[in-house]
Amino acid sequence: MASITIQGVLKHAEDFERMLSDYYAGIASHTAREGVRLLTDYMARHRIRLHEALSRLDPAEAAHLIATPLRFQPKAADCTCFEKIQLPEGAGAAEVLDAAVTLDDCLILLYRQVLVQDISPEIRDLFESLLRSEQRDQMELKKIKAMDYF
Amino acid sequence: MIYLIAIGVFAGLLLALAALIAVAERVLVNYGICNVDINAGERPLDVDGGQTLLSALYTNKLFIPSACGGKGSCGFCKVTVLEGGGPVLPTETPYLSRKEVRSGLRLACQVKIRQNIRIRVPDDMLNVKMFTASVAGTREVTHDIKEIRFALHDPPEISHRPGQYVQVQAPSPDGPVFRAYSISSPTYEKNEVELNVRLVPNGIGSTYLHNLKEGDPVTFTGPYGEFVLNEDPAVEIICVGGGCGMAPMKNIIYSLYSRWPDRQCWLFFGCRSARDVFYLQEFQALARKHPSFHVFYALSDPVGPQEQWDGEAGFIHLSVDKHLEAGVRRQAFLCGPPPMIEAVTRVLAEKGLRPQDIFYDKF
Repeated sequence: MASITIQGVLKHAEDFERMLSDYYAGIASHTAREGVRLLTDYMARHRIRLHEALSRLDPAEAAHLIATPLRFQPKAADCTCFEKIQLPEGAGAAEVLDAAVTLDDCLILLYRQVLVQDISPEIRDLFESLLRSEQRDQMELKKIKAMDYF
Repeated sequence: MIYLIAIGVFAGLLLALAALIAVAERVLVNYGICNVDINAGERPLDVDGGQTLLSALYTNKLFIPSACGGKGSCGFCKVTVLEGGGPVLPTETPYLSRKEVRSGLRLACQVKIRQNIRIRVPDDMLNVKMFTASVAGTREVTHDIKEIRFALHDPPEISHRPGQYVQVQAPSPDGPVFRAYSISSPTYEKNEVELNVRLVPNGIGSTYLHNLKEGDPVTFTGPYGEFVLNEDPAVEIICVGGGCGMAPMKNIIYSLYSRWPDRQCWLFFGCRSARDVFYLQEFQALARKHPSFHVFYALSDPVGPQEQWDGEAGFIHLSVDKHLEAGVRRQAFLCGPPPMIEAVTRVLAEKGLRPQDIFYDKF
């Protein structure tokens, strides 16, 4: 079984968040639809949860905590999530929002993988908080879709 | 097969352990009666320890807004805990900014009362009531939005400010849940509450409300909301709504013109197509009566060959940008999806509105 530290998992998640942000920014810059541009531009600028969550860790403890080793191989940021998404040319807001919910699932899977490991309460708090943030994000995306404005 | 049995036994053990802990906590851990001090003695309560703060407040008819029934998934039930709340839980942190945590804000549904506790809630919250009412009438205003009017029974009158909302109790398989809806009826209508409800596929609240028939009983709590209309009639009022974000605007506009018939007010409303347009004729009639009222509706989708439209085209923030001059004293109220709110806020800031003059209701 491969081994990775908490820091490694967080780096994984951070890379994935950056990829998400770039992905939405890419759609925003290429779409001909103003609604999709507005929506993805917003989504690209609201993908920074890790920094906020990490800032809650006690700085004196943080270095020690993130060095904690785990015995599993993260799967979220290996790009297969993006392969699942095949947005057609000229995709509408509803399709983009469905894709965003699917992509959030990748991070949710990663955080759940950590939460079943033998981890300290501080690390558990951090990942539960990240998990909740993603779930909250998914709920917001579904609400935006239901409102059918874009 | 052996693996399945092993998994089954393991799961069974975990369940038994969880049940044992729950029973032990109930039997062995007795927190006794705890005091909840609200707003420095304004409303002290003695409650059974061990329950959540939200539940204790609700039992004592202090109705903090909550949409998820205390599951910690809506983030609505924020109160300031000054003492005795214990540490902030990871279930709360996604809903609280660092500034809010520093100021003592907590989710009432996640705070368990284990000792005396001191909290602070906005004064408005102490006046929130639970209403029983019945459906006085319904009207389809678009293909998916219904106007629903409730006749109030107990208490028979509501006192609210323009832009406030109520939380309607809807049944669900997991027990009753509350869903927030802005009041669309003006403040001078004391015996009725009117809502605009868009049907959300599989939505618990909207499905329940859309299925209501005249005479059906309903329960809701309210009014909630922090919007306070500027009392200076020289300050222009800007209302911007998108999608189905019309209800608070209708309330604000009609309430405003009942008090200040000459006050400058602008309504910008954006939707996708002509079939989503509602209340346009009513507002045009109001504008003829009050020339200081300006109405702009915009459609973001291209107008279809069968549709007739002589209003604005494009997203609503573009209309706001086009029609408002900079440098005028204004207060704005926005209602719509978060990206719309962000786009409109940016335009209003460019027109000189300060952040404290912009209120919004994101959904």
